[in-house]
Amino acid sequence: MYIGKPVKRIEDLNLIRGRGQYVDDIVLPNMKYVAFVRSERPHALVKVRSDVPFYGGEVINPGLDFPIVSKETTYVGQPLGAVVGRDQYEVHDMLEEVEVEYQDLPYEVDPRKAMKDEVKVYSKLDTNVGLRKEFVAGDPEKALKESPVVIEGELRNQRMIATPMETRGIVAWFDGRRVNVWSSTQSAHFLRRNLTSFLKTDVHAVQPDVGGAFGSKIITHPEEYAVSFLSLKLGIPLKWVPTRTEEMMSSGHGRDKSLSYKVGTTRDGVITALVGTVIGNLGAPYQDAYDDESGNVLSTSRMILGPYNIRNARVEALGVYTNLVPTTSYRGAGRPEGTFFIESIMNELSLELGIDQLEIRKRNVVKSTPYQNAFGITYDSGDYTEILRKSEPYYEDFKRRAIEEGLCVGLGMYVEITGFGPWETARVYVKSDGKVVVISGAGPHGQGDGTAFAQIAADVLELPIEEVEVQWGDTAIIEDGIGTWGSRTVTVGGSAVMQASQMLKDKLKQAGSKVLNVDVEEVEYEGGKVKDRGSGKALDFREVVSGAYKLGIPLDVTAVYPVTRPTSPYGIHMALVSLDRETGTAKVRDYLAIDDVGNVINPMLAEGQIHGGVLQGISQALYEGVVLEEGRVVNLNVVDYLIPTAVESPRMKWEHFTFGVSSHPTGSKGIGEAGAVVATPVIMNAVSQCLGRQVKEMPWRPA
Amino acid sequence: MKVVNANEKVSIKLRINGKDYEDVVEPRKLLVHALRDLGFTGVHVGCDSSNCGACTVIMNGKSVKSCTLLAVEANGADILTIEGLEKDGKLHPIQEGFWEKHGLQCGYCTPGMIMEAYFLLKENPHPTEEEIREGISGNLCRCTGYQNIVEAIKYASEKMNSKTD
Ligand code: FES
Ligand code: FES
Repeated sequence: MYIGKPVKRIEDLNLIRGRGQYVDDIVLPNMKYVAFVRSERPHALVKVRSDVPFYGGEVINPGLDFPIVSKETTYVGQPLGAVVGRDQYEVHDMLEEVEVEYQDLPYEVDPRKAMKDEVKVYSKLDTNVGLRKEFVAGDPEKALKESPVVIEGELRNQRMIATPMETRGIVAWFDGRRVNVWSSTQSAHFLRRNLTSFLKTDVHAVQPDVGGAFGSKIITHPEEYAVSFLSLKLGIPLKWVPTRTEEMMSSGHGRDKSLSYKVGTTRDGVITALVGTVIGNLGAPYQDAYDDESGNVLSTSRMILGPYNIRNARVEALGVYTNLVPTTSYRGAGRPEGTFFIESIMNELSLELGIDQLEIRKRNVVKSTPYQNAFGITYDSGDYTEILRKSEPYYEDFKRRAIEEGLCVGLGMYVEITGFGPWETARVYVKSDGKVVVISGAGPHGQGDGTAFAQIAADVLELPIEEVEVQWGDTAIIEDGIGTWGSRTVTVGGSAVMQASQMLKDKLKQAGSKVLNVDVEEVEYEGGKVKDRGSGKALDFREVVSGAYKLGIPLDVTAVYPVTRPTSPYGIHMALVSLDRETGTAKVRDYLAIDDVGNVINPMLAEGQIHGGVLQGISQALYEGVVLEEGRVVNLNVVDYLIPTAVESPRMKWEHFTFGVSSHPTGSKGIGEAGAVVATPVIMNAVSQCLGRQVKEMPWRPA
Repeated sequence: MKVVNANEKVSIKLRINGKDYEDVVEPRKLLVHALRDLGFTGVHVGCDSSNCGACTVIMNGKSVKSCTLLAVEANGADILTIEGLEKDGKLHPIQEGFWEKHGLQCGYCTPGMIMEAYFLLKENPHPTEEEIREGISGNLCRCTGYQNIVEAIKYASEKMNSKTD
């Protein structure tokens, strides 16, 4: 069995030798470069005059301002059009030859003000409120009135920038028949569908190696539409790779939500009512981003109930357009905000009522699963009380150390939704020499799912893992696919791989029986061999395969695995944090993650996901966040926008339990986002415990 | 004194991973682009402000950020990139460490990170955990949270020391 073992990654061998192939490593004959002219104003009418060939919105999407501006720009960094030149250096020279005349219009970057519709962020909008939905359960107003304790306030979860180490980038080439693109994306198939409908031309999309994404490469970006369009128009291969500054001014902006709340409890800290309004800042009205982020605002709102049994609740969810970069998914995609809100509230209650942090969670936690939360989300399996009990000795130890060393303990509990649908594909085939090829319709870009797929296929087919090769990210090699996001890949993609492998196994059995010339009921498949039970005669894997080829039996199957419901991992994380009383500087000393993510396919990879997610979550609490001045983000490089180094990163420990598996064939639940979902409130709660009052804005800045 | 104008190109010599290369470049061309154009695409660009270290190579024995040097400045230099680390088809202990300890995910920072570790272990063969973290603080990674990178470098340090001691 490979499943459950810390199998080393099959992805690594190329990457540690500098032999990866990221999009900027791709060079095609006669390839030219593209660079974009970007808006310097948050809201303005623009006129472009250029001494060099310039391809603006009027060429790419006449009469429209998205993806490329024709007339009216709605955020700083928005692409106004492109120039094409010999290399990176020449195109940047050419940008100097383009002159933009701006006629400034009033702008608004604060969603609370934009909601009033006094300033339209885009002239074609009827209202800046792009999304409004209410979730209600029980009688929250009455329950609130009857609650002996009521707390209220506003929590802010700031705008972040995903900042993968590789920026976006695309190479596009029209070969006379179809447009071929190689893009730093989270899904070749999703990109293909979008480009095909935009260009009205067939598109072949490839996702090469991708240097991380964290949600920022899900949507199809304006530049991807534009470069593909220009390759079709100009008939030459084109490459576009932005600078880091450009990337930060135009992509990967996430979070940026606030909650105003009233929460009622009993004197013992049991929540009786929760009433609140979530306001999500959607940024400018780019439809692709809206389709992504509006769902995240709803996730936030429905997940505010957390792992707690809250039956009287009302949450109004608002998504508001502003003159900022269109907001998109960032690791966790709405769930971190919801978790931050409820976990901050838990901690505030603990401080207000003087009830221990763990104890107050015990009093509120969901008692049994499956459980449907008041806003209709099902937490499928697990034991929330039990995981709190398991965490107790660790927590006691942290508390003891906190006293001894003058530190503070922060806690955070979470429940998540992962393994989104609607489906995922997997294709498995065998070459005539016996090599097994697994192809996934998902699009891993660092998470190591290729290795997990190999483990799954090798187990089902009872073969050594070395016999299995895994591929993905090319629309020409598998029917279709969804992609990698929402912590879905191992679970949904892996279930597809499991099913396809089982289908292939059946085929191998049939083929073996034909080669052996006996009924299929007479044979059994074991360890890659097909054996005739009667005669005891066995064919090894290669004999079955070459026999199948000779008899004309294809060994190539595709499974489409439909998702009937998402699955919910949960856990409790804690940290020991020091707060310098003079400077206010907080530092994370120790971090412990305790998770139940169902069956763990590869604990080494799962732990790696926790490490990475946790540091991103810590960083939201202590370091990251955009700084705005006059409608523009001013910290647009990785110094001013602080990405943590190894020095800021604490030692992290991971424990996992399996009290509940998912109903998917893999039994697994997603872990890709969990760390980022819960680490932020853990750290903020520790800081708040140090101060004796709840801090409600991030990143933590000593006042 | 040799003077080269903006539109002129200069021919330069670089010794990369033990082999000699000649190139003709504009004076403004960055070393990182020159290396990548010569085929060393393991050298990556992660930022435009000299912070990320994805472009780290060893030049004349020192780790440098190749995005912050002009190719002409490197004329005559001896450069080691990630592609030159493997010897006779055998992984360098640092590469091995990154594989063993799961010190990479997307792999984009990895070449620069490994070259920085190479320099660090040459300067300080027995680094403490803190020294490792300080030593790679010019190299950003967005995926791993660094812990396994630290483990990978510890692994390499032990392996390299047990060989030489
Ligand atoms: S590319 Fe970021 S430091 Fe060189
Ligand atoms: S492994 Fe992705 S940036 Fe380091």
